[in-house]
Amino acid sequence: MIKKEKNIIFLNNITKNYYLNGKEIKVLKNLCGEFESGKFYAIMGHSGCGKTTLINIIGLLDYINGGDYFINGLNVKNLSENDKAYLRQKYIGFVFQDFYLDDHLKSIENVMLPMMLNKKLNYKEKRALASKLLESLDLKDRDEHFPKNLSGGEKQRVAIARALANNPKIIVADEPTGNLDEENEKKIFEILKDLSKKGKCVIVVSHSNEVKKYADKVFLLDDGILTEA
Amino acid sequence: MSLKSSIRYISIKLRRDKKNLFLMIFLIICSVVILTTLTFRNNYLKNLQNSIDKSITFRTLVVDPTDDPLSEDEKILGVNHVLEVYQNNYGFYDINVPTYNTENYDGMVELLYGTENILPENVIGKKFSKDDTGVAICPIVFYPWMDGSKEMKNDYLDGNKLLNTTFEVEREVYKFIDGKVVKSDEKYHKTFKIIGLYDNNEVYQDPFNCYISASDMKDLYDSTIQNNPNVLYGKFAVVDDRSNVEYVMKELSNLGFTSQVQSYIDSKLINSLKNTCNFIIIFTICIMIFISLMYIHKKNINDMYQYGVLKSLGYRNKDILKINIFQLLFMSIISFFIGILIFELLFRFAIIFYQKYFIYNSIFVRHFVDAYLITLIIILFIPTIISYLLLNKKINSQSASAMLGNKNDN
Ligand SMILES: Nc1ncnc2c1ncn2[C@@H]1O[C@H](COP(=O)(O)OP(=O)(O)OP(=O)(O)O)[C@@H](O)[C@H]1O
Ligand SMILES: [Mg+2]
Repeated sequence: MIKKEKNIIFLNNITKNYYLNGKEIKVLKNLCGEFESGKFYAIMGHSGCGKTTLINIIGLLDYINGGDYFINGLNVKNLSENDKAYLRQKYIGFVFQDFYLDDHLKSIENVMLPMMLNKKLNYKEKRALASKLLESLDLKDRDEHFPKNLSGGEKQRVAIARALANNPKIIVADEPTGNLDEENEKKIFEILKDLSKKGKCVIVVSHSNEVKKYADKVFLLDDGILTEA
Repeated sequence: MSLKSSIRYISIKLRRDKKNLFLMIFLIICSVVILTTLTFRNNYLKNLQNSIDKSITFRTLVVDPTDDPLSEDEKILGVNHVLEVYQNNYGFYDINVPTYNTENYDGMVELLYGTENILPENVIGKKFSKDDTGVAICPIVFYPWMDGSKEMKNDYLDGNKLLNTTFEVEREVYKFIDGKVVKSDEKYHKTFKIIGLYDNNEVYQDPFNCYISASDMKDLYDSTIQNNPNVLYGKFAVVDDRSNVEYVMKELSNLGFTSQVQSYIDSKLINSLKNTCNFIIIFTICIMIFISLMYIHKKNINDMYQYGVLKSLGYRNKDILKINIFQLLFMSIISFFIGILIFELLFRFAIIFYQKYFIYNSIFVRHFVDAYLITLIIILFIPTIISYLLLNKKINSQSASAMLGNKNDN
């Protein structure tokens, strides 16, 4: 089933429940939403409303209990685990609040991590590409740094470079500036904005009002559904 | 994911993540223990088997005396496969050899009864026949020193230099007078020429054992000790091959003789040794399973969020398993080789340290390929299989977001 071409992400009646000690927690209730390429989306909402749950679903890191989720027109509901992994690799770049860099890898190696799955490029090409990505994020001389020798803002930019490593069409970020000061927050949002301008679909969960200045569209997640703010 | 990139990734992780060191050190210790135990066990059993196969004492029967001593020899020799029969007090004679009594050796030599039928097969130089006199066949590595309580301090005499030289034996003479043993003032002297050399390790004799002819042995014994006319001596009957020993014993028993094999194997000791070795290996394996379980379980908990991150980057469960198992295989192989290195050092050290002991006791120590193979299999597979079982279950039972959630748990 092909959905409207410009909607790279299409959510239709998504439900998501958690079960804890036999109790059902309904987090997403028939949630609908559309996301286009080349736009910057912000998702806001009070703590515990399900933002992380939603972004994990969009990033194919979690299952849904009901509804349909289309990426680029493809319904992912019945895809195998391996197919989903393939979609994550090709379509989705994930940015986390806690950066989640591998402490034992240098910046450039962290960025190359997703490229290891790519058999088309050789090692040299991967390295050159990673270096270019870092440079484009203002990390020119940080190739050989280990995460422990980077500032928070730098770590997050390395993480963004890693998310971009396989040139995905979608960037999802769960509170990417949650651990950063204002200045770094602005910088990260600017980078994400820039990426959306270059044609990527950027979806950012944030508590910060700053994000509204950058977002093309702000969604409010409340009571399990998305509404435009 | 290609093999090359996973190897590159793993080698980086191994070099930088010091937590791996613990398991590796442990695996190294295990390989050394298992390798040492197996090598010891194999060498012990191999040497035992060699001595059974090669030592004449495992095919020499001790035949009890009968009331009719005169016809014994003829009867026993009449049995098929019996090579030689002689009175058991002529079997060996410990004697002082002043020629070799220097500051380095105590000069004690054990002379053995020799006939053309029972001399070692391989002799450098000449053999003798039972009626020859004044001739001897000595070890190539000759050590005229019988006092086992003292530490051997010197090198062996080089038999090649002794060939065609002579030595003189000296012994007080005892006489049997009126039912009593009396020491006389005379001394017995005799000179022997070394006409041949034999490899004492090959036939499991001691390095102080020289063969002399049957007639010389009888003369020596009879002149210095004299047979007690009231004592009936048993006989030694040498069988041609160990496989015929049972047959000969049965035949002898049919003729009314009781006999037993001169040397026998203490099967209790051997079994307990085997059991001890098996216990050490099984115990090591158990500890290995336990430590691997603990280590891998802890590593899985610590690294689970990393696996979640890898999944978010597009890695499949299969890739994550592959990386982990390769990493453990790598660690095991490296540990195994370091273990071999350490074992090799210990082995060499033991050989140098116990060299004299080994030669003295005709012990050959060597490496056994199967010991290496078994060690490799144990070291390689236990951690890997445990890792596979634990991780496979863990990553297939939860979503990537649940894996990421694990970060907060520890
Ligand atoms: N694995 C889980 N098992 C049970 N309940 C869960 C689980 N994960 C989340 N929840 C519940 O689902 C709801 C939504 O959680 P979620 O993490 O999506 O909220 P959030 O909007 O991201 O909150 P925050 O802004 O604090 O990060 C919460 O009530 C939470 O307690
Ligand atoms: Mg959240």
